[in-house]
Amino acid sequence: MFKLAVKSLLARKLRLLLMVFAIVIGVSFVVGSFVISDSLRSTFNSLATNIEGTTDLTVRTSQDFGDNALRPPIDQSNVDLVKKLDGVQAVEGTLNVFSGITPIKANGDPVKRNGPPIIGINTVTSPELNQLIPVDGRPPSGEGEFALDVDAAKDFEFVVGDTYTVLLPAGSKQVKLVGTFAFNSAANDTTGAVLVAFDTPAAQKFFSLEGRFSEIAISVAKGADLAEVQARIAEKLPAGAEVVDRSVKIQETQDDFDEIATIFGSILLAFAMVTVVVSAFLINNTFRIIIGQRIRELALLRALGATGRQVTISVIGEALVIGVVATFIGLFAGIGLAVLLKVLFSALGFSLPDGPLEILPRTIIAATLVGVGVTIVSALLPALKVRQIPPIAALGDDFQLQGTGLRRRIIVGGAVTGIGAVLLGLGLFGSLDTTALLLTLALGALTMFVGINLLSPVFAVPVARGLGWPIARFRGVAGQLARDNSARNPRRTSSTAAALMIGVALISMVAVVGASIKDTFTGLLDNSVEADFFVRPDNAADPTAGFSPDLTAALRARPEIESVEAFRFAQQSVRVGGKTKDLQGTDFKNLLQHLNPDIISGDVPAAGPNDVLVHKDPAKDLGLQVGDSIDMLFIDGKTETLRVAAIYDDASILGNWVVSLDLWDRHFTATVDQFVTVRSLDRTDPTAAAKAVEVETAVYASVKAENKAEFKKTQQRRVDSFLAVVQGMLILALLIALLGIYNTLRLSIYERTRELGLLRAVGMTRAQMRVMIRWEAAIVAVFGAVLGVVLGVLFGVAAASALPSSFIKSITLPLGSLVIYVLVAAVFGLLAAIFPARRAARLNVLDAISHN
Amino acid sequence: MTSIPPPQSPTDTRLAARAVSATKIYGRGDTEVRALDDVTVGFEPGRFAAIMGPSGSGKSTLMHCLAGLDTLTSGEVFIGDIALSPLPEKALTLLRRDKVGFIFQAFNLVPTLNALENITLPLALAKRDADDAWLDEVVTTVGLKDRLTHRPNELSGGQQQRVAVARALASRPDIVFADEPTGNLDSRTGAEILSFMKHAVRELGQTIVMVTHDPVAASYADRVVFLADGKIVDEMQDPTADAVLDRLKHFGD
Repeated sequence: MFKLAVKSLLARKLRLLLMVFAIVIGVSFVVGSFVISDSLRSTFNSLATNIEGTTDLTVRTSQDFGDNALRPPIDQSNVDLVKKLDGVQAVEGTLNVFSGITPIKANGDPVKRNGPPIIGINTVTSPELNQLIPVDGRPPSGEGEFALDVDAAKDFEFVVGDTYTVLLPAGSKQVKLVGTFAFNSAANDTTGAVLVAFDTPAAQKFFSLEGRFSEIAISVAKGADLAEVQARIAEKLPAGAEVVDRSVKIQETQDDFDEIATIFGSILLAFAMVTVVVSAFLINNTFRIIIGQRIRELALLRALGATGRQVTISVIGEALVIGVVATFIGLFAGIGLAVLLKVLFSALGFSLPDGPLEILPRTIIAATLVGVGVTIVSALLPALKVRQIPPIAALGDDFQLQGTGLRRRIIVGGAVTGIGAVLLGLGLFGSLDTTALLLTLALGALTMFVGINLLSPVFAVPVARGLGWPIARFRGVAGQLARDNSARNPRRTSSTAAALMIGVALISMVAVVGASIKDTFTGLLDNSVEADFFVRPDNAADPTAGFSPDLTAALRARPEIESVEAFRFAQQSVRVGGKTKDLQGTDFKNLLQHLNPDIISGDVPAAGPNDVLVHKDPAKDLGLQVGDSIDMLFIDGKTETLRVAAIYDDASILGNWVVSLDLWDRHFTATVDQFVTVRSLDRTDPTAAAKAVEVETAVYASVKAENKAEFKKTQQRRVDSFLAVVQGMLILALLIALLGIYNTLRLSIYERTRELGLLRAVGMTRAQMRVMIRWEAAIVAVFGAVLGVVLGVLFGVAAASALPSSFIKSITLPLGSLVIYVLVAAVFGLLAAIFPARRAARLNVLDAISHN
Repeated sequence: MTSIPPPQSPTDTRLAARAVSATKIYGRGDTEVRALDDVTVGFEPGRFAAIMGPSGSGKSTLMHCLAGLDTLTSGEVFIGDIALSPLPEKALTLLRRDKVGFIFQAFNLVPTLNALENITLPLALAKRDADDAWLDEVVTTVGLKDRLTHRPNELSGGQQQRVAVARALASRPDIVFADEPTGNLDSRTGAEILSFMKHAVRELGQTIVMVTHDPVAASYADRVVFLADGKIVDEMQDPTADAVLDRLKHFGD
């Protein structure tokens, strides 16, 4: 039986190739996403060890929660405290500042990388702890000098000996580049980050960290016992400080990297799963058609004595061969994809460290499960149906496999769709953790796809006829035949369309959510923003990015400007009611002149430095009223008791918790402003104020100043470019669907050879035949796209209502885009039909008529 | 045996279709098969002709070549006064559509179209309007008036074949070719179809050339041409089933 399966496959090479190709795409995505995230992880892990250099122990402030980047700095008095202790070889205070630092290139443009940050550091003198290897020039000394890492100097054309402007948290400085260095090794292990170095006193001053360090690095003397030294240091440290060893730091760095690699890998894996599901539909459809065509052959086997079981096994055998071949090819294709992605990232300026590709056994197992598993599962139902074929079917040509009855189809399809909808609802509106949530959503969507696929034959005929009406009307009899052909086999039409449906549904969903986010934001700007100008760092992707408060002060000093409001954010930086929350800081007095957060109760301008503004949702959860007190634990370990000054409705700019800048400065080190709004003195004509904003921000090349309209456009563009990336990935799913349409069409043309011959014999021209086949494909494609758009809108609306109201207040349907998707699908259908149509048109009439 | 009148001149341009020195060779060298070997024959308008012969005699090949479905190795075929071999594919298609009608043994209809749509298919393909009076006459004669909106799978085999005959006649072609039109039907239904074809020739003035190996079917024709080994070996005017059978018995003599 197995031999027969192989022979049957080889007899139809192109069909085999198409099915293999569909699975290869899915498998290679799975493999690629695993390989690249494993490789990233492994390279990052060794890097995490490397960048610790020779530091044995680190002293820093202790932090109970929140991101490492928010860790408060440690007082420099601790350096001397540690220095005198036994077993300590060398001690250095180190600085790592991630925001507010931007060197300006000779041409006036700011230094900028897509993704990796610009980090401000200090030079250290003790050879045991120095990680900067001089390449060119000399280390910086004093406030007039700085150094750059060698790759940044080269990439951004900085010349040693020249003087440059560097934007710093303490303001803009003119400094001379005196040298370049490689970090940690000759390979300069910065993973793309730009390092800007000053000597220690200058760095402390420029980074607004006088008397403080990010951390204190310690090298332990040879022969000393590490644990003893650590214990000795711990004993001396004041409260709120801790000493950790190398392994803890390495682990922390690895965990951070791991999170990036995991997110990255998960996104790729999600796309991989989409392609796998679409491929499964294609394979299922192909098998069903093939079996329909081979009824006589299979019946002959039965007549010759094969059991139903044996025939089924032969069909599954075919699937097995396809799955194994595709998995094998997909493994290599996936590794190639990983390499390609790496190259792509380098090209985008996110240079990944060189390292070997990690191909774990897990990757191979997953590839096999996906490749072989999906193929067999897709072939299972058609293979089981084969047992229905009686031996007598070998003699006649009128036996047809029974499809599921209409009633049963509606019941089963409806039930499956319902289960999918319930799962989706559970995911969207239940309270599940992230993994369970994503899994539930994916499973829900998949179940709904299957359910709709089961149901769709019920309405395939009327819908296909309706969609085909204009074609039948305007493309003559060929158009009429195209319409009739698309409606003649509803099961086939709907499963061919299903592959397209999935891709279109996901794209439409993303479009609906994106449009709603965009509109919410636009509506917000139109209705609740009172400010005229917005100043923000150019690098919007980095949530910690900011600029010197000097700029804010300068703006405030301009007579054309009425008032300026500065905002600061810190993610996951406070604990309220036992939960970690994001926090914003701003000035209460003028806030309402800049923003209108729809105050429900309370008085904002009158709020004092120890007051807090709370959004209505957390206020309700915690039962807070204006005037109540609430304890807030800050990231520096201190708790403040705050009075609720006001409760507001609109969280889109303010978030959920807002404190005063006075309070902020007491607990956070980041001394940069992250967002500033400006109000013109002249309320009717902001031209003078615009000029003032332009003049003041001109010095800060990495800062963007925009008026309302520009700001709106930028925000919309940001959503758009995100949508474009996601939809670009999903296009792949559409391409597989295209393959499906092509395949189905080819097979149906083969089935209908005699009919096509007859049409040609009675006078259909080749051109008319091509028209007929092309429009049949277009109708099927549009059917799939319409299903997809409907489903996608449903998904999108559900997702949009599940998102917090700070993202989406009202739901917008991007009708234009949705119509374009359907049109694009029609074009896809026409494209997929090019070759089958040509093939049909070239059929030899006489051969076709006598075809059996 | 009745005496055979002299065959009509095959160069006569008043003929509906004719073959002149038609030769069709399949294969090469040792495997060479002469399906048609220098056949010259003509078919008069307004008559019902049958081509008979045993399997492999070349009767189907002759019909396919006459209808422009197949090409000759040498020689020429004409529909009316149009020589087919110089015609490009598209012109051949249009010629089939406009001047030729077809009736096949089976699978004659497009399953997605109803009876009327099948009948008017060649007209629709040509974007020509049907001649309503003619169409009505054809449909009435075939007795399909109350079946016009049925799809092929709702019709019996005989009804399907009647639709096929009506389709072949609907565009009032110069000539209709029928390839074993009763091969798949029981004898009574077959007789009905043949009577109608005969009627179409007599009453409606159509020209039909039919390939068959059934002497009874051949007896409906005005004239029978006998083919064997790719050559015309005999012909018979106003045949009866017995005479045809008798002639066939002596094949190979």
